[in-house]
Amino acid sequence: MPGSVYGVVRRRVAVRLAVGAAAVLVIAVLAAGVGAVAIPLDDTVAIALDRLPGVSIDGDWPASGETILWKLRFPRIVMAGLVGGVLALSGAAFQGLFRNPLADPYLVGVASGAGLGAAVVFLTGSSLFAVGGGLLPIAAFAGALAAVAIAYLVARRSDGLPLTTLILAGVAVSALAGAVTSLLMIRSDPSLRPLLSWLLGGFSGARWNHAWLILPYVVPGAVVLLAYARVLNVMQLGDDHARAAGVNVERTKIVLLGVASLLTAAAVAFSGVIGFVGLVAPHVVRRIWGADHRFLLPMSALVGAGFLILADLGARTLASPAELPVGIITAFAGAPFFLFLLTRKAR
Amino acid sequence: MKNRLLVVVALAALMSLVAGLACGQAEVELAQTPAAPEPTATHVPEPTATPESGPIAVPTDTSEAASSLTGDPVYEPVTLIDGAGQEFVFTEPPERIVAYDSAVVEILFAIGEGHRIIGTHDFVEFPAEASEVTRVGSAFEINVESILALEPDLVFLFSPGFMDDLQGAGLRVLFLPSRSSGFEDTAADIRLWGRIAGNPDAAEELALDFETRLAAVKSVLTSVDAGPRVFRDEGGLWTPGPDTLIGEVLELLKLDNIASDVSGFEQISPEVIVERDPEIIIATDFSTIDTDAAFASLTAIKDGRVFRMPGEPLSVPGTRFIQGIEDLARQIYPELFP
Repeated sequence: MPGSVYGVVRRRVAVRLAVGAAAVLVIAVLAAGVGAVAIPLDDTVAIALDRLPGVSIDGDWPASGETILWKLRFPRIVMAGLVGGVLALSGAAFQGLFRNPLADPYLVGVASGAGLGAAVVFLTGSSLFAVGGGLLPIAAFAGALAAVAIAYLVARRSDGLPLTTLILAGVAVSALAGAVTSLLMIRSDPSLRPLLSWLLGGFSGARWNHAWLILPYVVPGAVVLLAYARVLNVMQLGDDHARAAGVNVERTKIVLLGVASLLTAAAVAFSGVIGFVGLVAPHVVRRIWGADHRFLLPMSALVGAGFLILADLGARTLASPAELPVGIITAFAGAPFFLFLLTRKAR
Repeated sequence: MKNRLLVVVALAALMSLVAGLACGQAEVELAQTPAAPEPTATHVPEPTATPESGPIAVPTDTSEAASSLTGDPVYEPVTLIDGAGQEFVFTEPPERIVAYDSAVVEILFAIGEGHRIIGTHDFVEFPAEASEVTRVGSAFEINVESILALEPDLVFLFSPGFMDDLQGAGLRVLFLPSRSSGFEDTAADIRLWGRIAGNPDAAEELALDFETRLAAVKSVLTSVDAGPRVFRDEGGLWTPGPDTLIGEVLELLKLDNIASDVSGFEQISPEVIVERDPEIIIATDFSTIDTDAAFASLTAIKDGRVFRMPGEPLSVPGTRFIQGIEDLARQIYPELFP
């Protein structure tokens, strides 16, 4: 029977992804049980179940416990998972698109553009600033997309989009936006702590409505990127081979660049610039399970989601009652693990 | 990627600088010349005129007082130990000061000696006359060349960062760490700068005004046993611990700071805010805590007791500090401070 071997491989891939998804779920549930404020496990379970449709539990838990779990901790875990997944998925797509292991979701200027947008709003319209609310995420989102658009317009040629030029343009746009951000900060009053927290990334301000706001970007964007997995596999052979195999290379570049940037911009708008997840998660998956994008893309998203939920768990508990910037945790925990992985033989 | 790292490194450096500004703990030792007749700077506030009750004392017009004191004949030499542990002697008042510190600019203008200031940093906005003073850099960078061009006979710094550069350029540099706690010593700072500038009488008047008004606030508050639980939001849920200037003011006002276990300024966990349930929130304009649905159940929000107060003046231990204390006292205890 033709395809039977392929069928087995496919089933194995599906099982791995299912296990990965289950692992993310377990991490999320465990993370929900721990926080800066200790809430008894039975209360936690009761408060969570009580919210399920059709379930009503009579409990005598304190109202503050319900607020902490439902309005702060649960949405925070969901946002960390969404953002981690999005950054890792975009990172994997960029690494595949640019055929460059150093690529990450911020390669073409998303981070610096978002940072500049945030800094402008913060330093000019201070009263409009909100931790994950108000004008700041809109400005960050717009700044991120503007930076990518500039890099794209500079690099574009009549006969296509040379990716090396795009990377260089992205680096230049990043440098410029970063310099303007630094200038704005150095010229402003030193009361910059809230802006610094945003720039270093974090989920202290994560709320349910943020998750609802980014889902319209995340779901269709992720579907598009996953649908391009097979094309990305072909693209690894080079533009000419891909063209010969019937791939519309130029359209692929634009779609992947646009969608991955849009996803990253949506993630960054609320959570700030969180480093390392988008770079490392795809490499971890590639080292352990290989570089087939049909598996690499979804598994990277799962690894990124689990990793960032755990990193945020550290951010909100390690220095309690204070918060740590989650980007510091991702680098502290991720970098040594990544170095360890590099010493192992690649698959 | 590389650029982003650079930006992050720069930001980290910036942040550590900001933290350094906020947390410099070194205490300045003030030595006294044997001949100097005045009390030392470690002064016990023993105000001469404590109002027993009622309104807080009216601020004295110090500029007028200062102008009537011109022509002080004898300059008492001032010896002090600077922030680097070196002895520093003034045998005559500095005439051309580059003052890299908001509080010192406020104090010198308030005692009528602002004319001695020829340069300062970008963030100095008070008093209004200070806007005429030449700017020679931000708090994070300093333009040595433009300072040299001003030909100062004293450069005053609140942080040691630029000290070597400036001394290397042949300038006379005094560094005393910016006061990040111990706001009551503001009176001692005022007296010290009065002696340095050769106008101790005007400084004494200003320092006494500070001490008298502070004592007035304290005496009114003796009737309060334990004030409400308070949360101070500097924006982004950054909050001061008890070891900060504003933390000390909260304590002075008998407020129970929910961030009593925070050191310096830290971003506090939102979960902890909900659990400790502040009855009063004092927020800067950067704060959006009152519009965040997750905090709608806090007692302070339900009672509508969210007060707006900018970061200044309670972050600059200068002449406006006491006014800041009084304003906050009136907001929180309107019945006690009519």
